[in-house]
Amino acid sequence: MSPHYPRLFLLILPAAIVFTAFFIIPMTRLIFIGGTGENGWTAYHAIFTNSRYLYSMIATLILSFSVTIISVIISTIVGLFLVRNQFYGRDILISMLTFPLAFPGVVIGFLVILSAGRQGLIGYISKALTGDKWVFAYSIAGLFMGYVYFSIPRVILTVMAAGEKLEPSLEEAAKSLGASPWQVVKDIIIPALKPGLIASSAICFATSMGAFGTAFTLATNIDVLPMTIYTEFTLNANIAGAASLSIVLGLVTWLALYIARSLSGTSVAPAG
Amino acid sequence: MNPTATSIKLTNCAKTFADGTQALKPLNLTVKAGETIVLLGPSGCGKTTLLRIIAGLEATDQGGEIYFNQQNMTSIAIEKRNIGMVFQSYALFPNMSVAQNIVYGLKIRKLKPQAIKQRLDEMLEMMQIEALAHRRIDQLSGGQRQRVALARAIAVRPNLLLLDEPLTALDASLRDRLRSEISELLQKLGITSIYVTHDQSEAMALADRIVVMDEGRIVQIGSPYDIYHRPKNEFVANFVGNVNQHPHVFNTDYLTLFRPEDAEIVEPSKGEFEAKIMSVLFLGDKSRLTLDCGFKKPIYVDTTLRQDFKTGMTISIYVEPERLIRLKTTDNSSAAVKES
Ligand SMILES: Nc1ncnc2c1ncn2[C@@H]1O[C@H](COP(=O)(O)OP(=O)(O)OP(=O)(O)O)[C@@H](O)[C@H]1O
Ligand SMILES: [Mg+2]
Repeated sequence: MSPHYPRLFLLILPAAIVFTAFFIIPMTRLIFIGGTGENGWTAYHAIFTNSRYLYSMIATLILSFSVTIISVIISTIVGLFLVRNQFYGRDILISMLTFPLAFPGVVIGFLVILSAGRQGLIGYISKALTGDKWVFAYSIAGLFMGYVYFSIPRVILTVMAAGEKLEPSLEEAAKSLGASPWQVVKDIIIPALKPGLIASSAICFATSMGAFGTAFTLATNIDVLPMTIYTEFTLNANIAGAASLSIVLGLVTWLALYIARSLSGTSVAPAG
Repeated sequence: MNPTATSIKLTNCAKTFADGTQALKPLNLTVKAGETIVLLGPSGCGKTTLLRIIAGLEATDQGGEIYFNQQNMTSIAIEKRNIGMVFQSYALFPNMSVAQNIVYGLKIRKLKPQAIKQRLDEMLEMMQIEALAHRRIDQLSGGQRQRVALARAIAVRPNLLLLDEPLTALDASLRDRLRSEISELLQKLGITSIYVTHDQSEAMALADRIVVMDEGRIVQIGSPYDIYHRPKNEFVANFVGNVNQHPHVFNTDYLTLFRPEDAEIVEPSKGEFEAKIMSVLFLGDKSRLTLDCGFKKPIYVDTTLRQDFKTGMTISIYVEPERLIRLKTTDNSSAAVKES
């Protein structure tokens, strides 16, 4: 056995270097910086005691959660449709759907302003139809729209990859046993897509929790947590506060993903 | 026979796929209640397509009609046809246990829990898979999966059981065992069944009637005995076994064929023709001789004689006249049968 150890060590080395240099060292520093402010380690408490922080945290969680749900629902339907149907222009449509993947948050924010801003298309149409000008680019609704916009392509790609691997004979077997189209979706398709859906929900949720560019561009009335961190860091020069909020943001996101993963683990276990 | 067994009638059913492939030419087929029909033919001849049309997984082209017990089912969706289907790939639901797979159709039919439990136990016992009830699908062997797939299909008491090459994915010895089990099961249940295979011995063993198909057409329908001994044309004769062309009886209107086991090795004075042994394949219960009789194709002869045949020997062959298969040589193109 022992002759294998040097080789194993060599193989682990790059991973260990990356992990130490980019994760352990900065994280540890960040944790300590969080505790060096005038309030010391109680800075980590502030997320619960400071109402602005708490409010920001809750708003971010609700936003990310609803963005995830809506994106997954829309993308599953669209993704399955694209896998199942051949039509003229399908390939171009698919590549266009993945277009927003390349956009930074600023561009997404700009697009939201273009459609739902004061001079936006939605306002223009709603004015013509109802007499009211709908402007929601600078509220949480605008943020929601932007986040859904950049989440959808990611989820669609995952759904399509999983959908292409769906075995058609499973659905045919279910139908032959009398299952209605809806029962086929519920009993066969969703369970088969589930691992992919959970993975992409996790990514979608984490991206929404940490997204900054869009929030920055829209300068919404409600601050999401990354905006709060930015404000603390640059405007208030509260470096310890920013660091502690960052750690908490990371922890909460990690916890949410962990719960999602373990939930999916139990529900796919064999049933009696 | 099962009193609820259903008869099937197809009239003028054809299938042209979206890409223009004509997988089936217009055909008619009648299946009696309780009968086991085997669709037999080479790869790509349209067996699966025909089965899928009967199941309702594909629509027949305009003009085709499908009847179950005189009831027109042409536009009825598969989920309303009350059929049982067994797929080559098993198609068991990976997110459900063996038991959940078997009762899936019963749950859809909203049977009472007690009735479901009872039917489940009955199926597990019938297929001898009691011990597997709580296993996951990926914990089963190929043969076990096939049993579960069968149990799931017959648990719903279907009007019609459709099986598409259910044994192809299994190894030879398991295939033989399951083949006789399926044969017994179909006898016992008396469900009308349609079984697809490209294996002639499977077809012989299972069928009440065999439907031989080629290039989207039905070439011949008949009992296994008829198909084997009275093939309609050279294609059928070749597909269900080996045939030799008789070297001496030759006529431009007729093709005269015989099967290897119908040739007798006789004394020179009684022989119809002489041939040289090119090779000997000893199979234990019989020997297969490859003969050269100056004809372009070799002739195959099976013999159970206890004689040590050697390559290079010359032997005399006789075939009894009633064992000869005579086919009209011009018959091939008009071979497609019309059944009313
Ligand atoms: N969805 C489809 N679109 C186009 N052509 C198809 C489709 N399905 C089958 N075909 C074609 O129709 C013909 C008949 O196919 P089918 O699957 O019925 O053959 P089969 O007799 O079951 O063959 P095998 O023994 O290989 O399973 C083939 O030429 C096949 O390529
Ligand atoms: Mg087939």
